[in-house]
Amino acid sequence: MKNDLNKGAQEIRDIKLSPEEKKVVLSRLLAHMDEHPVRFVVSPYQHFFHSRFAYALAGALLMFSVTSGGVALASEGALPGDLLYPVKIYVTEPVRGALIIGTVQKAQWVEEKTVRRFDEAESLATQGRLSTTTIQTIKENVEKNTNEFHAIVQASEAQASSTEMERVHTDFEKEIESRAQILNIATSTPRVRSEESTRENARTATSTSRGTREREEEDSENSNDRYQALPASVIRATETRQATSTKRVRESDSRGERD
Amino acid sequence: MEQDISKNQFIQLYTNESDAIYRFCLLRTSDKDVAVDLMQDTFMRFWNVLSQGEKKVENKRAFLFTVARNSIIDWYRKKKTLSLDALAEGSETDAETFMPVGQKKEDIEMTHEAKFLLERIRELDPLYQQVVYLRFVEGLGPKDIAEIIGESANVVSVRINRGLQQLRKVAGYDEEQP
Repeated sequence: MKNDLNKGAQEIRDIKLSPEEKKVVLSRLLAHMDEHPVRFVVSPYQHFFHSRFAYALAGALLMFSVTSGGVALASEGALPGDLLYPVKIYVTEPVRGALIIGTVQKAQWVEEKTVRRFDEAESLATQGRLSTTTIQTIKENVEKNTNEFHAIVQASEAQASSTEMERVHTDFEKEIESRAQILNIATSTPRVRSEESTRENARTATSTSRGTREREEEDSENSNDRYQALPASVIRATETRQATSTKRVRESDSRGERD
Repeated sequence: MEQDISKNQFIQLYTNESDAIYRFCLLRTSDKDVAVDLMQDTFMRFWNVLSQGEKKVENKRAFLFTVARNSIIDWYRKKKTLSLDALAEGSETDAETFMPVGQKKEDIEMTHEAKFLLERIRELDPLYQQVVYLRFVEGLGPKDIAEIIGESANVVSVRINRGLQQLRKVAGYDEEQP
């Protein structure tokens, strides 16, 4: 009798829809599903979000990622005097530099950083925001970059001479030579807001009273004036470089004469 | 994408559970067409809940049986208001019984053993009929059945035990023991 009951249960379980009925109902259900699309899907992580701590943690992480990423991105366009400029100089650029592998690439990156400083000076000049403070900031950073660049070059030469490094070195010097003028002009532009002293003001006033053309001629006549606005170490490094190249030229000339 | 995932899960659930829900509806209404309609209505209601996301359905199978049971009760209520005969017959308990005699319109094709078991279930106290069917035929646990009929798991466990005892008795199983 017991077996009959179990068998009966099995036979009842065999009562099923016909395949046709199943298909028809499924097609109706699919139509219904299209008419009533999903408005909200239960996340598999829903249980995690049941605790307040999890909400707080998720919020903090989200804020951190959004703000840190956003700040880093925003700081890329910052200029001296801006709130985010220190983030650019002390966080974003060092991090980027730390990720670079290879001495030549590192030297190129330092060169790019120097170019950025000159770009910043130009942007400030365009916006009329150049002041003695901002110029000082840029000069300090250019000096820092120059020291860093020469340290890399020296370390590289100590190991083995590289034509690629030689090329980067030449580019760097050219860049300094061609663009250092911006800092020089900046100090004599009428838009400069002197913040330091009356002496600085007087000097700026004298400088601005002279015509721009006259000043340019003077600049081109005296090559040493070109570096007037540059830090001493940059000038020294450039002069050493020039002396080395002059020496090389003389050596090659004398060799040519001998031949 | 999310819509597709939900759809696929739903279709999978329909493939696995549609027969059980249809069977439950058929044995409670004794009408194939009504059973198919009620089964379809059950799955539609389930999709509505799923798509609106207002309620978290943890035990999908139990939830389907709950919806089906409510649909059957609604169907009986509607039928009662429309039919004076049914009212006269006093089909108050039909909504909770299996294959009520008053509703039997057609012969459902089934074997002798299946018929025998269903007739014995029908002889049980209406309070035990559903729990015995869901436990003994569909293999649902006391917790699932508690969710379906809206009682506590303890109450359901007691009903299952008493119902199965009664089933053995009506099936003549107890007579074999001294």
